[in-house]
Amino acid sequence: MTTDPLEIAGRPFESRLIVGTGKYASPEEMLETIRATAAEIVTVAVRRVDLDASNRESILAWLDPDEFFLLPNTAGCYTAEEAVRYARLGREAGLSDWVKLEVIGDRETLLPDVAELLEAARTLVKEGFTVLAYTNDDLVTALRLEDAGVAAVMPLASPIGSGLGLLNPVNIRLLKGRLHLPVIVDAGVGTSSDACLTMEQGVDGILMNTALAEARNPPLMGRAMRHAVEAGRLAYLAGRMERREWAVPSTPMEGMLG
Amino acid sequence: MNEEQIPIRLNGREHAVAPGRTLAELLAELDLDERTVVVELNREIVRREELDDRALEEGDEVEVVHFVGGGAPRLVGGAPLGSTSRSGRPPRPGELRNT
Repeated sequence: MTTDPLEIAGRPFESRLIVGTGKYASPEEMLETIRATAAEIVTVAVRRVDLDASNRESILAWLDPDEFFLLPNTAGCYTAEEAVRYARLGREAGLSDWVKLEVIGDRETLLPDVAELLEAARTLVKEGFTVLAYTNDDLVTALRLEDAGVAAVMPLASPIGSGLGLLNPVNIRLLKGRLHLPVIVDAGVGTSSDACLTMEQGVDGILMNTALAEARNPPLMGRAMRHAVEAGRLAYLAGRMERREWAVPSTPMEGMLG
Repeated sequence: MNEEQIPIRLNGREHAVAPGRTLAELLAELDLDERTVVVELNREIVRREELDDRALEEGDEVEVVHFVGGGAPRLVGGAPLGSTSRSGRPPRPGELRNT
């Protein structure tokens, strides 16, 4: 896949799989799983240091910025103001000026608040951030995000943590067809077939977390996802055969005994 | 609490510091490595090289944050930043429904 890099804001990445770091049983399991996926971009969140905990180590104790491209996110933010605050804190840590922007609008479904998202995106782009925006699979919002100057649009396959897979491939293809930016499907993938099917739509990449962390064997699922994303990408590039509702023999009829 | 100490808010909770303490000294008292955290004072980010510049004053609101596992709302370790200036508050991770 080295000749087919994922390019975001002019920066090439060999892997089209981006992974989160939440929900793992232990940091050891997280690291083993991430390595199994061969992902380069890894998302992290900004939170208060727990001053009561005996173990106050940052997740950076486990994730080497030389091995992974660490992408701070604004997970859990419900307003543009809050998301901008978290993005600035993430940037101040000194890793990069990239941010995965999330502004949630509803606690039950964790669906994005697109009005707040657009406002936060405009502010952060103005402040020089490279913004990757988590959004609905809605074309108009995606176009507005592109106008706002984000570096990638990240529509959901289905709600965060749901594992329902790609609910609306038509919308995802529509977005990919209309946007000039990378389209990275973020959230909802449950297992390898979901990832493969999503990549077959022609999108540029996938971000996942729960499908890995909640698998019975996360490192093994990591390997499965790595291959699924690659397989789906290759199948998209190869171009699938036409669907038809009748049979066509693969073997010639000529030369059969009369 | 020593009566000479002054009250501040640290990560959303009452905390007392000796008069004249700087943010750098506060981090040292808390046994935190200033290279692994980011500090906000009254909602303004304080750059690492400026942590020594100002003494803490009564009522200062200090937030000390770092990176934790994330990518989905149920987070490993740490609490979200609370806000005292808005009517609502951000949900705690346990309040978010995940399937």
